[in-house]
Amino acid sequence: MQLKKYLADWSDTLSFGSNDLAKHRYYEFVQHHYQSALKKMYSRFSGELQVEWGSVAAKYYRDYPPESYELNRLTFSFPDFVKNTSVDFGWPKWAYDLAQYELAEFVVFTDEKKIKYCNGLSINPTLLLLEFEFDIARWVISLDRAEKLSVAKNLHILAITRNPTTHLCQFTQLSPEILDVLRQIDSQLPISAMNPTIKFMQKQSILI
Amino acid sequence: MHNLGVGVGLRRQHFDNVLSTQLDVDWFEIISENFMQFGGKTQAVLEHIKSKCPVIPHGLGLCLGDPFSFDLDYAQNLKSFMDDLNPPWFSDHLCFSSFEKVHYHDLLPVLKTEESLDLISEKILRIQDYFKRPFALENISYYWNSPDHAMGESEFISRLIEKTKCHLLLDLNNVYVNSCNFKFDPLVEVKQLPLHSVIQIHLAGHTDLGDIVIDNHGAHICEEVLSLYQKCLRLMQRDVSTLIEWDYNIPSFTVLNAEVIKVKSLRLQCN
Repeated sequence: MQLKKYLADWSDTLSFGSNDLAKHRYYEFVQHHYQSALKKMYSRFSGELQVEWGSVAAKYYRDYPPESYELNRLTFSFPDFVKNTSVDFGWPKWAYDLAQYELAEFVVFTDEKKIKYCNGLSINPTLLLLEFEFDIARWVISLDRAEKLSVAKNLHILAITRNPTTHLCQFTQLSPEILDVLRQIDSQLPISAMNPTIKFMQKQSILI
Repeated sequence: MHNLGVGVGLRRQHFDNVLSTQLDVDWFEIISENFMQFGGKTQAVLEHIKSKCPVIPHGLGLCLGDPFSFDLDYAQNLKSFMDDLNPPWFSDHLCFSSFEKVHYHDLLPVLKTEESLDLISEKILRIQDYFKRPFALENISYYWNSPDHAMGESEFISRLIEKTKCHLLLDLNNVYVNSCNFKFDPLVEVKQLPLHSVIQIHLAGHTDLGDIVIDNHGAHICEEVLSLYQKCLRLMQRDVSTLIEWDYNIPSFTVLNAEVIKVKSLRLQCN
């Protein structure tokens, strides 16, 4: 069973490094892939909080071992990690919401559910509802416009959907009226086509 | 064997180009893991290109070098993906990329011994039986040579192919990079490979750091690799589907397209 020992030796090298410089290079490659995946998925988090990814990624992958064949999926537990370690790393209270926002954007953008049009209104199958404690969506818009606002506290539910035509994500803060319409559709209750909330929900790709 | 012409690896940075531009590209290769289970724009682009030209999935996850495991979840997802795509063949690397459920997302060199040859052959046979499609394995670049190897790369690959009847995806840049790092003649190495089984060739650029050459697919294909490509085609006396990879410092699609035209003209000179 020489091969099993060979693979186990590699496993040690890739986890802890090696004195053999040529083998150690592979350790560096792997650490680079792991760090890049986090940095790319959480790019705003990375930039705004000036994350030093070396120590963060090392702790993250110790807590959440890289067990997916899809590189992006290795990073899906990062919001949980942030929730548990924000204090240790000195991140602000809204760090968890920001990580959750960036992950949600990726998940909805790549959701494999096909959007099919049918007669009448239906809920966009990519719809994701998430509770946020801070107004991250507004803050991200301000970042993109280079007019960075401070992050305001605002407990709310955010609807994230993928536009069926542009494939881009849309973010909508849920109002009681929108929640009412979603409940009515979910319960197959009749809804009035004249309801202005419905037009807004179509514009935001919540209804298709 | 199918000759698809000259293709490129499809990357997200070029999605808008492939949707809107008239291309000189004959076919596309996609990294399976970057497309399977992805919807939205990724799926829309894939639907578009597969209606225009052949698309070949090239994976990183079959982990041939660890014959003690077979990731059924991955295999089922890949099979379902390929049932939709219906490619003439699919490929993966002669390497291992995970061990005991930990995924490294890098291409790690296999151990070249008799035991390894037997076990990896069994895994390839199992893969061919499971997917029921022609399968090609790719030779990788490596930066470390185990003192426990019992044979060289070309012998190991030749015997694997003889035992399994799978195909070879010959990456000439990898042969060249290895020849630089381990000081051998790349043409001699190519001649020792089972050229009759080559179904596809990979071409790519690399970076010379002085003490080491890194296969990062981050530059134009160098003249030495292009020359090796022409010599290889002449040795084989046939045109082989050829794919240009560019994964790092990804240029505009115009630059990539120009590389395709250049490779096409080099192929013509070999006829």
